[in-house]
Parts: sequence; C-alpha cells; structure tokens
Amino acid sequence: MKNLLKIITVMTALGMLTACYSSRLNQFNDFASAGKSYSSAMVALTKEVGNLAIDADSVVLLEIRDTDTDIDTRIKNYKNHTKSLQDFLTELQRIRQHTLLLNKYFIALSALATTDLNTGIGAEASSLAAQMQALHPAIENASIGDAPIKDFIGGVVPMVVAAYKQKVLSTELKKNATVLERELELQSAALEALVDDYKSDVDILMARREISEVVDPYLAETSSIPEGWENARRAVLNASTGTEMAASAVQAAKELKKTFIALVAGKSGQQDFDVLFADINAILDLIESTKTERED
Amino acid sequence: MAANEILNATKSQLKKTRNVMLSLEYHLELEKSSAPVKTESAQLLSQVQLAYMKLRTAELQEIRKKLEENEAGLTTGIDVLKAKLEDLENVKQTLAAISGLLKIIGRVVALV
Repeated sequence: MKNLLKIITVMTALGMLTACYSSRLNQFNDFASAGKSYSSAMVALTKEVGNLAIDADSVVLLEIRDTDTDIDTRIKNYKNHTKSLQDFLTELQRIRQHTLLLNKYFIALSALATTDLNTGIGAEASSLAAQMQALHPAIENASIGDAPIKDFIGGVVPMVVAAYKQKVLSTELKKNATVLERELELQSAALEALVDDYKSDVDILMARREISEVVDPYLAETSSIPEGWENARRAVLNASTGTEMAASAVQAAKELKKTFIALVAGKSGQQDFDVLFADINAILDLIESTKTERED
Repeated sequence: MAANEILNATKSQLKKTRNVMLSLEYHLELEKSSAPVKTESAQLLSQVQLAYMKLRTAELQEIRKKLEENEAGLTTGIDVLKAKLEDLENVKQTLAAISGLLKIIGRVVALV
C-alpha cells in the first residue's frame, strides 16, 4: 500500500512537471500569436502614420500654394515636399520590414518549441535574427520626429535563458535572445519617435477640418449655413486626437519585449499575455475608429 | 548645448510653429489681418516648412560647426518665438519673431 502511494505521488509529480513544461512550451505558441497580432497592428499603424503624414503635408502645400507666385517656386516646393515625404515613407517601410521579420522569428521559435528534429528551422531563426540586425543601423539613425530613433533606445536588459529540453530551441535562444532584446527595444524606440510626428500631423488635419468644414462656413458673409453644418461640427469636435492610439502602440511594444524576456527566462504567465493582447487589440480598435472618423 | 541638442530644439520649434500657423486660433487672428500680412504669413509658413524639412534630413556632421557658431542666436530666437506663440493676438509681432528665427536658421542651412 505504501509503495502504491509512493508510485501515485511520483506519477502525480511527474504529471505536474510535464504539464508545467508543456504549458511553458505552449507559451511560445501564444507568443507567436501575440507576435502576429502585434505585427498586424504595427503594419496598420505605420500605414496610417504614412497616410496622415501625406495628408498633413498636402495641407501645408496647399496653404502655401497661393504665395508661390511663379511656376519655378511651385515646382521647387512641390519637389521638396514630395522628396521629404518619400524619405519618411521609406523609413516607415523599413520599420514594417523589421516588424515582419520579428513576426517570422517568433513563429520559428514556436516551431522549435514543438520539435527537436533538425528541420532547418533553427538556421532559419538565426537568419531572421541576422536580417533584423542588418536593418538595425538604418532604422536607429533615421530622424523620424525631432530626434533620431537612437535617442529613444534604452539600455540593454541582461537576458536569462531557461533550460529547455529542445536542444535547437535552447541553442537558438542562447545565441540570439540578447539580439532579440535589442531588436524589440528598437521597435519600441521607433514607435516613440513616430508618436510625436503622428500627433503633430493629427493636430494639423483636425484643425484644418474644423476651419474648412465648420469655422469658415460659419464666418462666411452669406446668410445661409451649409446643410449638415451641425453634424459636421459635432463630428469634428468629437473626433479622437489619436493620442490614445499612439500611447497604446508604445505600450504594446514595451509589453512585447517584457513578455519575451519573461518567456525566455521561463517565467511568463497567462497574465503577461492577457495584458499584451489587450494592448494590441486596443491599437487595432483605435486604428479602425480613427480611419472611420477621417473617412466620414 | 551640444550641436545635436541645438538641432533637435530648432526642429522641434519649427514643427510647433508650423502647427500653430495652421491652427484654428491662428487662423482666426489672421482673418482680422490685412491682405499683405496674410501674404507674409503664408510666405513665412512656406519657409518654416522648408527649414523644418531641410534640418530634418540634414547630416549633423555637415552643419555641426554652423550650429555651434549660431547657438546664441538660435536659442534666443527660439525663446522669443515661444513667447510670441503663446499670445497670438499680435500677428505682426509673431511673424517678426518667426522671421527672426528663420534668418538665423538661414545661416545654418540654405532656405532657397
């Protein structure tokens, strides 16, 4: 009877250990899902930032058009504005490329957590990390807002890599966890730099909309007010400023890094993922509402 | 201040100035102004935007010396403009402050 109890106790303990281990490996899968959602949100966000930058620049370009008395000045101004915008859009494209590489990397890690066979996934993961590192200097040195992205990069966080039964996963994490910590920090820094420009562009567009759709028709010397003026005023005054979205994006990037550090150390819990998914979903919701407001 | 700090402060002020010049408050003050003042305002907005774009893509190494040489002028110009942008009631004075800062920036990058 005593022996039977011992066997049951050992089996229960083994079962719990296996469940715990299996749960840890499942977290790589959860993290890959989070990475995919994060990537979708960031791609949508950077595209929205690009659209806003184009629209805000068009406002400035149209505002100064009347003072460009000769065609040469107009051509020069148009070229200057367009060149500057194209440079900015190229930077955004580079950030998107970096985000997509991160997404692929997390998928590769998730695959490594489920197999220990030498399927080439380990080499693929290392190659993705190397591609991110190659993009790093160009993104870091880009001046998106008032300062280069590198000014927003925080210090290195030492990485602790837990012991994993899957040798390829362990090898990859030992080799590249520190690299990934830097790449995630770069994402967060790029977003912080973008936020300032984003808010500034939103301010310009909101002010222009209020002026053209609400204030100028109201001040006009004609006796009648355009039909739907009240609705236009309500829509303009209720429109979101985008500040919330910008803050969520920066928060999501920080959470992604924090969760990755905890995951690699074998210390992540469901709560980390809940917070991360909540931040990512907040960005997706806000992008949708901002788009709807602008298109109305 | 280090050259990169002078550059960042100047870019930041130019962006704020551009946004104020496109704001509702400024638009309403400008509505009360004469046609020549409105024209001057639009021309200065064009220069503010051009200066911002040029400084944004400028290589710090190439303009470091000029930034350092004009540090005092830039710092004073930024401070004066900041104060004027807080009280938009006198558009002419605001435009004079913008013009003053642009003159100093013109010594750092060509604004033509």
